[in-house]
Amino acid sequence: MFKKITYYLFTQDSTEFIFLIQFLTVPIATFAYGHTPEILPVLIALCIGVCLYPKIAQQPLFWIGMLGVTTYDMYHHALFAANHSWVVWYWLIAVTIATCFIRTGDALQILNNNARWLLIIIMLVAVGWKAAKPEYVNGTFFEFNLVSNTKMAPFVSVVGDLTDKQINSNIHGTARMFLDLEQEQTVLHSSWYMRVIAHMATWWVLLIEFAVGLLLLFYKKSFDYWAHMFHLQFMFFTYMAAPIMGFAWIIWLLGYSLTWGHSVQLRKYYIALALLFFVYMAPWEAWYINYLWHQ
Amino acid sequence: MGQKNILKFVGASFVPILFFGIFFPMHMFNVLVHDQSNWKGGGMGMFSGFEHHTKRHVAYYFVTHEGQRIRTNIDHRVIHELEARFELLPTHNNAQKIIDAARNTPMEIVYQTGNFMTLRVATEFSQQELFDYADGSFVIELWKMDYVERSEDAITTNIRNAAIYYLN
Repeated sequence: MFKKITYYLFTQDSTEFIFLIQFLTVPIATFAYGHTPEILPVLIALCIGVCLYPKIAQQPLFWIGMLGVTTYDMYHHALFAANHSWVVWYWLIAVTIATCFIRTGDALQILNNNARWLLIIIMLVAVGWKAAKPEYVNGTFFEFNLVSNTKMAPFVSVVGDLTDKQINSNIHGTARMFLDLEQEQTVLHSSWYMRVIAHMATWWVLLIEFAVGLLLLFYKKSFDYWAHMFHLQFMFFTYMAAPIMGFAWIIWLLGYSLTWGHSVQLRKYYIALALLFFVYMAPWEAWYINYLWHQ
Repeated sequence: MGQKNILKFVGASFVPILFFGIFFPMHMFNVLVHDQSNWKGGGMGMFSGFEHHTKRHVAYYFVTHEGQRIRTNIDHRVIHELEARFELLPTHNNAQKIIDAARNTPMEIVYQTGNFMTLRVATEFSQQELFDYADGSFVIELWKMDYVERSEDAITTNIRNAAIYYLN
């Protein structure tokens, strides 16, 4: 089993690579999308079906079904859908279309093209939003999140200089803000050091997202290689600090889909990062909050 | 690849991008015109500012015949969903939906102190008297979290009333 998985992850055969992307899309679309509880069992059943009979992932009907269920969910909850849910939905459309084009030999190009353009859009549009928001550009937003966001709290407890007591006070302070509308202001603990981290992170995210989006626009192998390097670096650091794993997995898959035609080494980096994602997925946030609770 | 196949291939390659081209402007329109949160809605604007829905809060008040405003908390799944919808997209229509749902559901008071009241859905076993919304009007407020200033070792955040809707 392990040998088979390794074989497929490094395959140089285009049909096998398409099959691998189809196969990987199923669990990622099932668990990274954020489906409503009513829809999730249907997708889990499809996911189990693919694990038992992998070849069904090559059938257009399977993808039409998967896309249909997800589209139904999206139609009813479009307003609540997070950005990664939209990306998963766009990607499911791409995989469904690519599966219909397997016989004509265009499937891989369709997958590549969509992975490239989805990554370009995700990165460049995100840069546009961030650059347009003064609170992002001046670092306040990042600092606010670093000192008060529970998702970032375990990371801050390691790299920051705030005490557990201060982090706890910040988390409770923001959680209580809307309880008493008369009390308009809340003061959160921060420090000069946290501000430096926030500024560095603010500009690092802006520049690296811009670099990935821009480099992919050129359709050049050497530019693509650097886009991959920046993309890997982006995922490595971003999801270590803020483990939004739904987004992490779908942009990982988009990047991995673009490794076709590149060296095996590049795929090794992606696979190493995927293994690291499982470490990121551990409930660090819950453990840390629990630890704070018992302080 | 023949001309027909090239067209087919190009068309197939850009279908998801075409969908993005439809939904992104819709999201932008709602952000600019209706103050929709840019974190959700397909615009790829997450983690760019304070507009996350958890940094927004809806407060609603029942106005008595005497003109007194009583802040109300309704413990009901449907109302909570409508509140979440309003926090993401604070339109007059979404505010009205909260009130309509509340009016159409029999409620009972579980807690009242001063100008604050908690209601819950009445059941056939309810002991309390049913709450009567008749002729009362409502005020719905959208509150937002923001920051005020940064000093050397602190960030001062505040909440502000961003929108107010008067409904009958």
